[in-house]
Amino acid sequence: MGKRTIVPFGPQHPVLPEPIHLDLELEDEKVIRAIPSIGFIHRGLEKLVEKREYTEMVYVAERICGICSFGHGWGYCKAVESLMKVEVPSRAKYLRTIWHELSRIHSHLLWLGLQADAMGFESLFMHSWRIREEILDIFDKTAGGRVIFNVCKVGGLRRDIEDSELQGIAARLQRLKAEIKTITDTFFDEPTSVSRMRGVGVLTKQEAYDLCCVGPFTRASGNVIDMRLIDTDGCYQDVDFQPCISTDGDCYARCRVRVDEIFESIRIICAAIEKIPAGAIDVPVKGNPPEGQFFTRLEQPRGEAVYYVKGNGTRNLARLRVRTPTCINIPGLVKTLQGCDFADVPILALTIDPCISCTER
Amino acid sequence: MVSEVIAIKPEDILDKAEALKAEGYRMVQICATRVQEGFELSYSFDKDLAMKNLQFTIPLDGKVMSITSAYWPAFIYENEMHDLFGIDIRHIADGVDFHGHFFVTAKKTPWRELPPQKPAIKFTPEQLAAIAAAKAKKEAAAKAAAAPAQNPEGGKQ
Repeated sequence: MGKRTIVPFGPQHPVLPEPIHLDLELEDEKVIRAIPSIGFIHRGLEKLVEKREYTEMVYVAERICGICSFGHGWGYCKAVESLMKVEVPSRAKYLRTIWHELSRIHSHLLWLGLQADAMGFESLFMHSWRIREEILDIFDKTAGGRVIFNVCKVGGLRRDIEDSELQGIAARLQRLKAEIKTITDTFFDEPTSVSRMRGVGVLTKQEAYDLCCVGPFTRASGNVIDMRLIDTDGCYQDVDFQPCISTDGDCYARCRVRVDEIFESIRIICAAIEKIPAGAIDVPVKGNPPEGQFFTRLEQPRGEAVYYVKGNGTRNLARLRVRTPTCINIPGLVKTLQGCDFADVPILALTIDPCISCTER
Repeated sequence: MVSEVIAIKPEDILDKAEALKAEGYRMVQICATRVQEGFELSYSFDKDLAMKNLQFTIPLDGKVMSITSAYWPAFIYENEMHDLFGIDIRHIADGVDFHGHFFVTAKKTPWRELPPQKPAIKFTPEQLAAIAAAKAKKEAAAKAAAAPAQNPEGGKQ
């Protein structure tokens, strides 16, 4: 039996952009056990429903996360619209899908950059983020903001995108495909990159399911869990959405799923732009959310997010609950860390694409 | 999107969770809501992308059995409910019961006050009158701007 040591990892760590703390129990260079703790940046956003009206809470929901900001706004609106039985116009559904999928591309490119950085591959990190800038430019042009969009509202959208501009976005994404392929091929072909990811942190299909993992983390282990398959509030059913699955369950497979999802998102956006109907982008919403409750789910870039709203007949909701993907991926992370090399901890922590600010809400 | 809500008794939660586990359900989330009677707890499970929610209410000083023996990842939510709302969760699995140290918040917990029943933002009669006056002034200005310009002498020049 080797020497036992406990190494504290985070909440501030050079390769960990998120404030999670892990007590790593080591035996020589192997991690025997990882004990997580969170709560360093708890913001109490859910509790703000008591002070903010249901229409104002969209702005709060969008601030749950800076990466999947649009998705949180959409998820919240979806839950309130279902509670109030509001039917959103078709054009708004298409536009929401387009913005949401652009956010997914942006999120995955950001993750690719962080993963490259964690592996010490600085130029790959910079190229990933350079391409991500192009997506942020599209956000800026269409929504007026690069991080927070403020375009979603209960009943539809605040802003439309001109058809000519949509055609421009499709053409720009088609041009970007070749550039994205160049950098993503480096992740899969470059020997240093492959050796850092292949066979590291393997989670079998059954383990991932039993640990209730979501998003690319579980799809990389072969579980077909993607809320876009059952979505009726976007246009996924009209664009023949196909989930991206891998079966190896290691870091390489997680990277592969995210890269495949970038290309699938581009395909979804281009198909949605081809089919988008003309018409209104919102409907008037009158009255207050009635007494009652509603659970809904949305596939965020990091996985399934759950939105629960409870109305009490006033302009303030009685409860808003957002269960973010990272929250339920922490048990999976703890499991994959058991038995790994100490040097692989940063890579493994990143492969769940952690967002602790989401988790802390 | 299928989402079914089933009311159960608090003492049945572990048996129900074990039965759902045996049927191949995945745990999705656990949520506590402050209600008049105490706390309303919602446990969500998923199978083939259809969600089932088990719901029950416990008094403020009530106890509830942990489901970590059936669903180990439930420790995340059970520690959250304990740390933020002070709910007494019994028999959380060894090694993942943080005894109140999972969440470290600046604001003192547990949060047990009932949410206000009336809208938090309410205008005073004076504020409402000022809003109505500003709206009327804006409408009058818009009407005046839209009206065609007329020669004070009458007729066209």
